[in-house]
Amino acid sequence: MPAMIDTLSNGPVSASSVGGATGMMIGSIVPGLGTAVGWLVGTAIGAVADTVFGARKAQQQRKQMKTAFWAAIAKRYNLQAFTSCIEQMGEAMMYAQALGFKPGTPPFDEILKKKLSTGNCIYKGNCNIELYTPGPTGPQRLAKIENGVLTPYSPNIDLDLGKKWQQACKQLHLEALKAWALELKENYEFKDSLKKETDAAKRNAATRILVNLGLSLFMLGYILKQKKKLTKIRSFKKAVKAQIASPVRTTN
Amino acid sequence: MYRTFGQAGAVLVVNAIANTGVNIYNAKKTAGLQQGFQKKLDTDEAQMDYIKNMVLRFRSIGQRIAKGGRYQPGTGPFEDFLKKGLVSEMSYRGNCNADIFVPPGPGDSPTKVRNIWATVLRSGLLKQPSTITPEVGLIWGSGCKSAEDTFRIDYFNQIKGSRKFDVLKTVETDLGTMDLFLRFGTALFLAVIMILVTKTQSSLIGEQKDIYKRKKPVKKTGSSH
Repeated sequence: MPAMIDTLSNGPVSASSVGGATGMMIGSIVPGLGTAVGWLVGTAIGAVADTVFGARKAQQQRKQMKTAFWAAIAKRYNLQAFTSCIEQMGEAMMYAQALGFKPGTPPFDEILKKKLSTGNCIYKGNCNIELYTPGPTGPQRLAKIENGVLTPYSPNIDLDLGKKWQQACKQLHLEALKAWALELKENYEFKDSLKKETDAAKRNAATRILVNLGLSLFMLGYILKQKKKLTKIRSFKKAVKAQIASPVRTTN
Repeated sequence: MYRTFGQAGAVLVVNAIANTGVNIYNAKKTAGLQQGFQKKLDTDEAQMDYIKNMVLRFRSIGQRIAKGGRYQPGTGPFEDFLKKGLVSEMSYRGNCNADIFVPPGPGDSPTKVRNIWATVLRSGLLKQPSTITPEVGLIWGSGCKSAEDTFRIDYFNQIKGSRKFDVLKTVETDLGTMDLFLRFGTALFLAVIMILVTKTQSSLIGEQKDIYKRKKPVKKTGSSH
């Protein structure tokens, strides 16, 4: 009976036509009724059935609309849980990079696992995660993503999210690696600038010492020369004094 | 026969009217349903936009405190400053738990006491009963935790920057001191050399003067022959 009602509601033949045909058949059998009257009566009954089926179909469609709408709302919520996980993952990677861990290495992965070991987004390492949604009694399992494949534990979740997660995870790793490389470059540049400054100061000091040493040697040379001159003058004076002091002997 | 004919015809007419009525009712119901869905979607979007703004505000204030480098994120003093900074938007209770106030109306004064719009928890749950869409809890939960990581990163960067500055200052001070000692040492040495030069030169000049004095010719006076 329900199958027949479904066929009459959704099929190519309406209840009015079936009723009309049946009425005609009955009218041809029942004496005194006639096919015309039989058709009219059958059509009238069929039309009433059509109205009832139509109303029922419309009610079912509205119910389906509501179900589809709330399913879309649930899907939107689950998508938000996924988006929130990507957000947390990104910041956790930048945090691990700021601590000095090189992205893409096992220690980096270990730090991420520790950072995202509680909450709605649990990181299992190697871009594998378990997604949860908050519930009044505790987190409720939503899905698991392993090697880009999503295993849902709840309905209304897009199965493509597995591939999207893998792409997002790779991109986040790349961004963290770029930030790590930039920081490394800045550290090298800083050390380099310190070394250059120290070397420049040492060069200046060496130059100053050499110039002053040269000047000093020149002045020492000058002092020695003048001292030599002084010694000669003093010895000459001494000789003259001695000559003056000794008497000159004259013979007659 | 004609009576039956007439009755059937009347049934058809009544049925046609009833059918029309059912179609009109169905169309109205469907339109009302669609309006309800659209209203829900618009309301949800407005609520999600509002909580995203709250997350941005939380992040902005926390980053300002963290970049000061004085208070470590996650500690009591840091949370106290956050509470004070967010007092106009929410009653922040620490650890990503907060009572968020309703959005201010266009004519509301800044000091007006506002009702609580939603109580959000760190786990991403909204305290029930609530008519707010549950995505609000997820957005707040993940936004707040991400913001906490951002605060720590900014604090680390501030500490690293100030350590680099200390290292630079130490190196420049050391180089400056070395330069000062070097200049002082060379000046002292040169001064000693200059004193020796001056002394030697003045002794030489003195001796030469003596010789020139002795060599000076004697003046001739007039003879009596």
